[in-house]
Amino acid sequence: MTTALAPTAVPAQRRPWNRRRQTVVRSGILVLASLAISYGLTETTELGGILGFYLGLALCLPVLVFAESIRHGWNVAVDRVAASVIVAAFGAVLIPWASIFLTVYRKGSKAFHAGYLTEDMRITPSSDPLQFGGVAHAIVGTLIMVLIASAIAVPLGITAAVYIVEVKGRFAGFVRFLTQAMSGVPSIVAGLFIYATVVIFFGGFSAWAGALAYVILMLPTVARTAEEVLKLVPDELRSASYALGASQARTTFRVVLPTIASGLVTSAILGVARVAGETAPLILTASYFVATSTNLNEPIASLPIYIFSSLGLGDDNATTRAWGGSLVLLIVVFVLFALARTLSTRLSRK
Amino acid sequence: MTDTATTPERRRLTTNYTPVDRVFRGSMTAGALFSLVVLALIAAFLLYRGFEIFSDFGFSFITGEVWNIGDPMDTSTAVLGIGAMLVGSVLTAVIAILIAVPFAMSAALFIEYYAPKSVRTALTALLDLVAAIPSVIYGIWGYAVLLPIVEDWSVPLERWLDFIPIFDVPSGIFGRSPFLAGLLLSLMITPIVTSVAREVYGQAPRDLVDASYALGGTKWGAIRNVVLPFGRSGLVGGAMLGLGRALGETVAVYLTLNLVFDINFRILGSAGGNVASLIATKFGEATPYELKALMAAGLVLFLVTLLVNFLATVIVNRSRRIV
Amino acid sequence: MTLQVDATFGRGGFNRHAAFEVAPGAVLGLVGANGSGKSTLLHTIAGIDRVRSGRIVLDGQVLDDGTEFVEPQDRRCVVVFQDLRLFPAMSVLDNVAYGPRSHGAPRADAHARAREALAKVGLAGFEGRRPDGLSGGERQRVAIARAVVTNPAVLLLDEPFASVDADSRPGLREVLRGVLTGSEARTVIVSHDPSDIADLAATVVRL
Repeated sequence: MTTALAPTAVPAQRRPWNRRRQTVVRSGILVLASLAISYGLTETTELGGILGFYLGLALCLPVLVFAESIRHGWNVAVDRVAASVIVAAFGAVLIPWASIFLTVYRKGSKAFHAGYLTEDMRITPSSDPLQFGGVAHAIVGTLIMVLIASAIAVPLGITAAVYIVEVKGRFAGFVRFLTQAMSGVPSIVAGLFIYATVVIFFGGFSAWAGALAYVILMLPTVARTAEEVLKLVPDELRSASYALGASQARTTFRVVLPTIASGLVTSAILGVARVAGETAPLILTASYFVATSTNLNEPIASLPIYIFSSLGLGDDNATTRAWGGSLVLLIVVFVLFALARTLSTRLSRK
Repeated sequence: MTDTATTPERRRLTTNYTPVDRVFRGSMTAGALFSLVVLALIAAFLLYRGFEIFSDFGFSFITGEVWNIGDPMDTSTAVLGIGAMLVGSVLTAVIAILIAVPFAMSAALFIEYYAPKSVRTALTALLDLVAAIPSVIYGIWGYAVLLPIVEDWSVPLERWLDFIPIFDVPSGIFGRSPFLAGLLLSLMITPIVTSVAREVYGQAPRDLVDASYALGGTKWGAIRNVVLPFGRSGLVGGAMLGLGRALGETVAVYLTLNLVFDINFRILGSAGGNVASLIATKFGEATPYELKALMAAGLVLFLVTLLVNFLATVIVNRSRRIV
Repeated sequence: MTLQVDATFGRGGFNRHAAFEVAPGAVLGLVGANGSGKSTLLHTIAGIDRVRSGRIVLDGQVLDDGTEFVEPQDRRCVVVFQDLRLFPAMSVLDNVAYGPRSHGAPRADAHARAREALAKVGLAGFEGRRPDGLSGGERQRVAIARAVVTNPAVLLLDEPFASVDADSRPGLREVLRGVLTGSEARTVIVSHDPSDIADLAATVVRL
């Protein structure tokens, strides 16, 4: 005789780490409570300001979380405290970066006026009122040096990558190691090297020298990214090319490189983004110049040095100009960065 | 007809390249070795220009803490030593690492294990963007925004902790300090360390993590017992990469740390400097002899960062190979 | 004049032997179950893989016998790969003209021959298109045109019908028939389905 088994209630399917409304409400209450306590703390102790507030929050929240969850047991309590600490730490890290973006925007936009991007400082001392002068010379100077440096560093970097991935020569491992080593050269040492050779030899600061210092800094970045991108080309394409009678040279230039052309452009852009903001090497090589210039044998302006030298003057207007230059530089870096990312997503989508 | 009796002799597998390809391969080799040439030249030239300094001062150049040009006409009166600056470089870099590593770990863990999947790419992109912020912008912000905050904080901090020597500031002058510089540097290197940490933590064996959950464990338990030990060597490598970057940083330190030639471990007080900012500061008005000393200092900095980066790469590669 | 194959081939633990001859203009079908080594044999004839023992001889010249070895680019063998391997960064015309260009033909010449080959496979007018914008059958035909345009001594087709749907198959068979008649190449077609090549191949070898 079979007994009909009463169907036991099947527990509702639960995804273990899915946040339920209960959890959200609980967390919300805890956060609010710690906010309140931190506020009280900042009023009563000397740890004032936003930082004090956040520190209070960072201390209170884990304690409150612990107190609330200990009733579930030690492990659960530790888990929740750990989660709150990690989230709080991540938030803490985001604050200064947000502050940088906001401060640069706020203070930098004060320097902006109609002609800011088209005028330079050849007749305007930095302490003059802000509606005079601009950053044209700095933009042009940076552009010139970056273009020259790219013309040298990009082909050389791609060559190194081709050597490692395609030619696979005897020194391939060695070249890789060297590229890694070169990527760690401090920017000021790169400047020092160009100073010791080019500047002293040719008797003066110049845009050439600045560009060459950029090359030392760009080359490893370009080589490394190009190598990664070259490795993405499937070997089948290469063997198909050889099977049709092509030489390695033809295979590389007509098949492999065109296939990842956008990746190579990305590596170039990343190299540029790396150097465009470097100040230290330029101090020793291209120095600074107040007028827009295309003379490569003379000192030339650049965005980082424009910022740096304006700061050194101590004057309020000059300092605001420094912020303005920072805003321009940040926008440039941001644009380059966005460009590189769209190109690389396009590459991976193919 | 196949030969059945004799075994074929071992054949030498050589590839004869066509003339076109020989030119191609040769030129690629030459281009690739260019970086060797540059690197070697860097070391050679700095050594050449700074050699006089090393022969005049020997080891005391590295350990001495006085920087006195003396009489510009008579180089024998100069006493030059980068000891204080080396200590400053190491001190600021160490502070930077000590602050950056815990935050980088938290950020990496957050992105890999706590953040909803939909924001993960956005956060990674944000990380890369922040890594690209130029150091001069960090410097100007550090001077304008961070300095007052740290100054405010140093006062009570020193009052409570002055029984520990490194927090004691007898001069009472706060402001630009190794602590400020170290804090700013930690901001600059956190993205690098986080990227490496994130990569390593993301490669933790997922099956072990799932097993930990299946046994009733918590997320933190899984992280503590599986992910963190797995990622330890990768994290060390990432930290060393950050260290290398911090050691060579010039402008950010220049703007947040005054140059004082005194081996100083009081991190809240206004004194210190690092080798890179020394070069940048003294460069403008250096006498020819002083210039040589700066080159020698650059060589020392170059070799130190080279060593650190080499170790870092070895450690990071070794941690990757385990995967 | 013939292509003579009498060799053991394969990689690792995998070993097969085959022996046959193909005369100029003749078509040989190579059939067998999946994994029987048909593609590997094609690759070995082409020089992408090497024989383990035995030899491959073309027109009296030893291509591979364990000691002597002729590089793939120096054999006059052309492979149409199963995964086609069309170059994504080039137009259809440039893809087809790639072989002649690699052998030194001037651009105008190579392009003219490429146009001819494309017409022969029924793709006249497709010259400017990109490989990734074509259907499976069209890409197969581009791959065939690319192989045939170089007038190879040996033509090796690896599963030409694999990526083609049933409706397009008769069309492709017609194209191949047209290409192979009047061609002096010693042709080997590989397929796991004998009916595909039943009317194209005079001889069939089973692995």
